[in-house]
Amino acid sequence: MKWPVIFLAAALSLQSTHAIGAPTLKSPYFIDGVHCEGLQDAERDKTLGEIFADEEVAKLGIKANNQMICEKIFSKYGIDKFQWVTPDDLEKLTFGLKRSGKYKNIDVRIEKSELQNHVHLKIKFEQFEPRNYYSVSVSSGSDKGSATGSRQTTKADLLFQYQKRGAENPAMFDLGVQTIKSSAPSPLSIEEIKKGNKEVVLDTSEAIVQSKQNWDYTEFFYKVPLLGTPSIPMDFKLGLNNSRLSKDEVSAVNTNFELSSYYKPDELIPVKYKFSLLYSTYTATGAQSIIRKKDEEEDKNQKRNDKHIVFAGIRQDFKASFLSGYLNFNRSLTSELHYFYDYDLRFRLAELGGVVGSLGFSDNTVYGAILPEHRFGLPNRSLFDIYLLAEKDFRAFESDNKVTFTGGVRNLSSDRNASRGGYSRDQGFAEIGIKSRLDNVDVGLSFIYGSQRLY
Amino acid sequence: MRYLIFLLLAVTTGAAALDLCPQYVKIHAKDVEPRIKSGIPFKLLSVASDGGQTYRKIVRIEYDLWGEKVGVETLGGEKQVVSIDAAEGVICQQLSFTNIKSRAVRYQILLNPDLSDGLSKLKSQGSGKSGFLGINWKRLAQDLNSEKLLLEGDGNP
Repeated sequence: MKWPVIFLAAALSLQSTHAIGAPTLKSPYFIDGVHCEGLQDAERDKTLGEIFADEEVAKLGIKANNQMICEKIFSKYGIDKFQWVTPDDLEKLTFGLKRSGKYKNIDVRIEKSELQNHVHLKIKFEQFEPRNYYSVSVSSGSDKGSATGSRQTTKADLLFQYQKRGAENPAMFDLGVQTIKSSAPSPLSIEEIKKGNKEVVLDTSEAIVQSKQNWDYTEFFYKVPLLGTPSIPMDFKLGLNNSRLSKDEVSAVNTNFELSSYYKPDELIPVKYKFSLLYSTYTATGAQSIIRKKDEEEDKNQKRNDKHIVFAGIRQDFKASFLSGYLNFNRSLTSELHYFYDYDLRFRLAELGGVVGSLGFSDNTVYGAILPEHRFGLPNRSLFDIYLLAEKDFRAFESDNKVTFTGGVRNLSSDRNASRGGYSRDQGFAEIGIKSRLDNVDVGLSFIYGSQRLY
Repeated sequence: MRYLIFLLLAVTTGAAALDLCPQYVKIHAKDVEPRIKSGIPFKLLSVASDGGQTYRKIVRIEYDLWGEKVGVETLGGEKQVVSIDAAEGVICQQLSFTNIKSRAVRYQILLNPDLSDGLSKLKSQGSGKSGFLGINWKRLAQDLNSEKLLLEGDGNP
């Protein structure tokens, strides 16, 4: 009779000590159940309602479906029911969910179960309200060309997004049109990139890049998640770029097809990779450009009026908080060009410090930025920016507004331009703009002045 | 007693103390205590700057549901285990500063900052900054990617 009593007393003593002592802070929790509130999207699943004829049974089906979705969300962060977790695991779960940007707000808590250290994990989700957003921005620029004098350029963007405002909540789909009208001459005209009196010869890829970036054009794109799953999100983007310059009777059609997939190596680290498959066709008519094929002699240079290039490529984008860029590899499917590649690395040093209280704005900060960009391959170019950006927020007419001023210098140079040497373009620029955020429309207007070609 | 400690430290080190407790009271009941009782560990970051020098303290808080004890741990310091009622005083002490060399600073308290990224910009010795270059507080809060800015103000240590 004595031994059971002693064992019982010892057990009670241990239990009591365990409950009071500080070491319980690091004890793992056993998850008895996971519970989600506020997953309205799942509750609205109409297909489930159609499958079950009986309303009560349908409700049960929807409830079971919600629970399955709930458990999947936890599982993504390595937390499943009927397993042990530490407080650190729960902290990481909260951290990851809050930074996923998929939910407007989440409230995570644990509640005691019947047994010691057994808990129920509860999350209350507040989801973004599904709605449409529109963004309109118009930018007018005045710049001076070395050969043509001053000219005007107007750039307009119209973007329609479903369920997105800002960068926090990924849009379910985008529909956008961008148009640029400019009195600038054709970018395939080489007058803009003369170095002294020396004529510059463009190779094919250089001509493509110049034409893509500098022509009057209208671009339409449509992006919609195709095979979007939580683990493999994918985007499809079709872009149609139609360029026309009436002055030189030049036109070009550039069709881009892009299939992309995103990859985040760790939900807790703000790094995202994007892999894309590219297919693009390019046709230009009426363009007079001097195109020198790779490895051919100078006297074989040709003046071409038409060209049609099809190329396919693979592209990898990556984005971290201070560094972003892409690695691009293209393979031509036509005889014009065999292949080219380039990559682009950008990093910001902008927010390291600021000049406080400049420009007379008492609550404003001006900061300096250095954005080196280097592209290797064909064409090998480098772009170097240094500028100051001043921003001032104010509220008027029941909308949030922001006035911005940007001023700086830029150098665009190429050191690999056939055998004729590279070119370099120095530009000073200043831009003043205003952005307004209304209920579901963002409006932006800006004016930019440049001492050289802006677009 | 708390003020005596701050005063003693200030006298012995030649530096001034910034006591955040009077301001912290405003946010404890509303923002911090519910987080403690949720049972999920979290971090608070206090930052103070005089324009040239930056000071920071990180406090991790966790809660034992069964013992109803709060663990308060400062980065690089020891963990204190206290009752839920005493947590307010301990947390605000840990967030306060004792070695500020300036007479006027601006401070913030942030909830769950992203320690892996933006915090690296907050060198405790204020490298990269001078009298000309100051902290862009708004940008800093964005970069830190914290869950919430709990408190902001000016203080005179």
